[in-house]
Amino acid sequence: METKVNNMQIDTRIVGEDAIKIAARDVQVYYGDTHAIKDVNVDILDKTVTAFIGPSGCGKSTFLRCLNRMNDTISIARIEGDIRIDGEDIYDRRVDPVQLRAKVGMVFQKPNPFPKSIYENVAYGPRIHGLARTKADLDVIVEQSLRRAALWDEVKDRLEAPGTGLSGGQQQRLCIGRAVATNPEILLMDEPCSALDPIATAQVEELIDELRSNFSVVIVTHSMQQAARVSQKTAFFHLGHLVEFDETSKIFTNPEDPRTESYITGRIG
Amino acid sequence: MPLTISISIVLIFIAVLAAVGFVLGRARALSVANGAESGLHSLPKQHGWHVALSTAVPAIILIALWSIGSGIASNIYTNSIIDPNAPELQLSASVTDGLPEAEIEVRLAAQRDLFVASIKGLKTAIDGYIANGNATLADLERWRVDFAPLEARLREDGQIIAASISQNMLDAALRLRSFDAAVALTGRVAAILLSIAGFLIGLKLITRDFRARISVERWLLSFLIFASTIAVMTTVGILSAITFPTLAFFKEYGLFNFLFGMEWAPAGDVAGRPEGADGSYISALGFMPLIWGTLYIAFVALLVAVPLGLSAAIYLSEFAPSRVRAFVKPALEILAGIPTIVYGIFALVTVGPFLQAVVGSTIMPNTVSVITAGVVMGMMLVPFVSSLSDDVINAVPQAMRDGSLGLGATPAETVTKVILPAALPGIVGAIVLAASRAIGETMIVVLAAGALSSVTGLETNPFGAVVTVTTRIVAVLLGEGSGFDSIDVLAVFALAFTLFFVTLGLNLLAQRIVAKYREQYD
Repeated sequence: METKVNNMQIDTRIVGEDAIKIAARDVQVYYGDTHAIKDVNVDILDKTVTAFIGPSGCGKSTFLRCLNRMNDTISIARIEGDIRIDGEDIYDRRVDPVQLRAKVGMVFQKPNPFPKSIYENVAYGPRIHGLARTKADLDVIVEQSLRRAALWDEVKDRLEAPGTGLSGGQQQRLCIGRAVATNPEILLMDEPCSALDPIATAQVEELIDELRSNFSVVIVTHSMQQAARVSQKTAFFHLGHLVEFDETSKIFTNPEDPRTESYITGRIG
Repeated sequence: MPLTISISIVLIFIAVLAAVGFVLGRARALSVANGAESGLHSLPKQHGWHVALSTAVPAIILIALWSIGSGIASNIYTNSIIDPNAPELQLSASVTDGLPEAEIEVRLAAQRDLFVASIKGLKTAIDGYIANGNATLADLERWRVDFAPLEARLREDGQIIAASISQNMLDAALRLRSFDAAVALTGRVAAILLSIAGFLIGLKLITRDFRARISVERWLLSFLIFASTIAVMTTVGILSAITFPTLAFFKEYGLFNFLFGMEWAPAGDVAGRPEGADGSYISALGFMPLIWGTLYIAFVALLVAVPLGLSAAIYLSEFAPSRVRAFVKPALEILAGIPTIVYGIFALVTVGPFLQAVVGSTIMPNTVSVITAGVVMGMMLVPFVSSLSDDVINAVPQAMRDGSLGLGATPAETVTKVILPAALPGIVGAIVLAASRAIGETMIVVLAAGALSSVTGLETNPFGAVVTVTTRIVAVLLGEGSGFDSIDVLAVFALAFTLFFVTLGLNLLAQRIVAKYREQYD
C-alpha cells in the first residue's frame, strides 16, 4: 500500500504543475473577537488532492469552510482577504453563495444523509439546480453519481430505501455521491472518515483517489497517515497560521519548518 | 371540655421537635464518632435528618389519617345518636298519601340525610360562634333550656344555618360537638406522643454502623413515589367519578340514541324544569350537534393557528437574528399566558361585532359564531403551535442544514425540502396537541360560539352560532331548571366522559407520533 501511494504522488506532481484552481491571499477569519485564521496564502491545484493537517483548533476546518462560504451561516464570523476560484473573487458582492456552493461541493465530518430515500438524497442537488429536465435525465445523474461514489452496486436494488438506513461508510459515500451530483469542480471534505471504521475509511480513501481525476479535492484530516495516503499536496496549520505548504512527500520526509516536523513526529498536537 | 390543643400547636410542636432532633442527632453522631468522622457509616448530617424525619413523618401521617377517619366516625356517631322516632324524621300523612312503598322509603332516607346534614351544620355554626368569642362553654348549657334566641344570634354572627333549630337538633349537635372534640383531642395527643417516640427511637438508633443515609434516602424515595402516585390516582378518581353516572345515563337513554342523536334540547334548559316534573317535556340529548360544533370551531381554530404558528416558528428558528428572537419568542409566550376568559371577552366585544359589520347581518345574524370563536381560539393556539414546532425544528440536526446549504440550496429550499419534512412528525404531534386543546377549550366558546338552549341538526354556516360539548356542560350544570338527579345532568357526565376520551385519544396519537419522530436521526 505504502509504495503504491508514493508512486501516485510522483505521478501527480507532474499533473498539477500549472493549473491553479483556488488562490487565497492574506485570508483572515475572526469569530467575534477571536482571530481564528491569520494571513493564510495558499494555491490549490486542479485535479489534485490537497490535505489540511494540524492539531485541533488550528483553523484548518475554518479555512475549508471559507472556500464555499459556509462561514456565512455563522453570524459572528468575519472574513477578510482575497479568495479566488478560477480567478474570480468568491467574496465579491456579485457572487451568489448559493451558486458558489453548487460549484464547490462539501462532505462533512459526520455522514449527514437527509431523512429521505437514497434516490432522493442524490437527486436533491440536481433538482434544486434544475440540472435534469426529465425523470430519465435525473435517473442518469443519480446512477452516475452513485457510481462515482462507488456505491451504485450496493444500493441499486434499493434506491427507495431511506438513506439513514445505510451503514456509516455507505452513508458517507452517499453524501459524496450527493455532492458530486451537482457537478461541482471542487470537493471539500471536512474529516470525512473520522466517524468511520477502518474498512469504510479505506473504501472512502480509495474513492477520493478516483475523484481526483475529475475534481480538485481538499480534505481536512486528523490522521497524518491518511494525508500521506491520499494527498499530493499537504498544508500544515498551527494556531491559525499556515505553517508550511508543499508536496506531501516533502512535508512528511523533509519538512522545512521545525513546527511541522514536531507535529508529524508526534511531539506537538 | 377542659382541655383543647389546636392543630397548629401540634404541628408547631412536631416541627420544633424535628428541628431539635436534627441538631441533637447530628451532635450525637459526632460524639459517637469520637472525633473520627470517617468511622461513621453515614454523615452526621444524615443522622440528623434521620432523627428529624422519624420524629415528623409518622406523626404527620397519623394526623392526616386521623382527620379522614374522624370525619367518617363523626358521620357514624351522628346517625347512631338520632332518635328513630324523632318528629324530624317522619313524613306527614299528606305527603305519603297515595305514594308507593318504595317511594316512601326513598323520601324517608332523604329526610334522614337532610336531618344529619343540618345537625352537622348547626354544630359547625356553634363552633364558629364560640371561636369568635361570643359565648363560653357555660352558655351552651343554658341554650339547652332556652334555644329560641340561638338561631337569631348565630345568624347575626354570620354563621350559616340551613334549617330552623329544634330541640332534638340542638341536643344532637351538642353531643356531636363533644364527641368530635374528644376524637380530635385523642388524635392530637397520639400524634404528639408518636413524634416524641420517633424522636427518642431515632436518637437511640445512632451508632457508628447505623445506616442513616440509606434510611433517609428511602424516606425521600417514598415521598417521591407518593407525589407521583397522587397525579395518577387523581386521573383514576376523575375517571371513575364520571364513569358510573355515564353508564347510568347510557342505560336510561341508550348509547346509540346519545351518540347519533341529532337534537339537543334538555328539559332543564328548554322548559325550565327537570324532565317529567309534570310529565310534559321529554329531554332530547343527542351528541351529534354538540360534537359537530366542537369540531367545527376546532377546525377553524387550527386553520388560523397552524399556518401562523408554524410560520412564526420557522422564522424564529431559521431566519430571525438572535436579537429579534430574544424579543419575539418571549412576546409570543406572553400570548400563551393570557387567561382564556380574556380571549373570550375579546371575541365577544371586538371580533364578533367586527365580523358582523364586515359580512352583514343577513349572513351573520349574531355576533357569536363559529368564526368568531374559531378565529380567537386560533389566536390563542398560535404560541402553543409555534413554541412546540420551534422545539421540533431546532431538534433537526445542524448537519442537515449544512448538508443542504453545502449543496447550494437556498435557506428557503433548505427549510421546505429538508427541515420541514424531517420535522414533520413532530409538527403533526404539535398540531394534534393543539387540536386536543381546542376541543377541550371552554371559556372562549361559552362567550363567543353561541348559547342556544336547544339545537337540531348540524349548522354549516361558519357565521352561524353553534353549541359545543363544553358550553352545554356549563349550561346544564348552571341552569336553573335542572334538578341534580335529572337525566340532563346524567347526560352531562356522558358528555364529559366522551370529551375525555376524544382528547385522550388525540393525546395518545400525538405521543405516538412524537415518539416515532424521536427515532428519526439515531
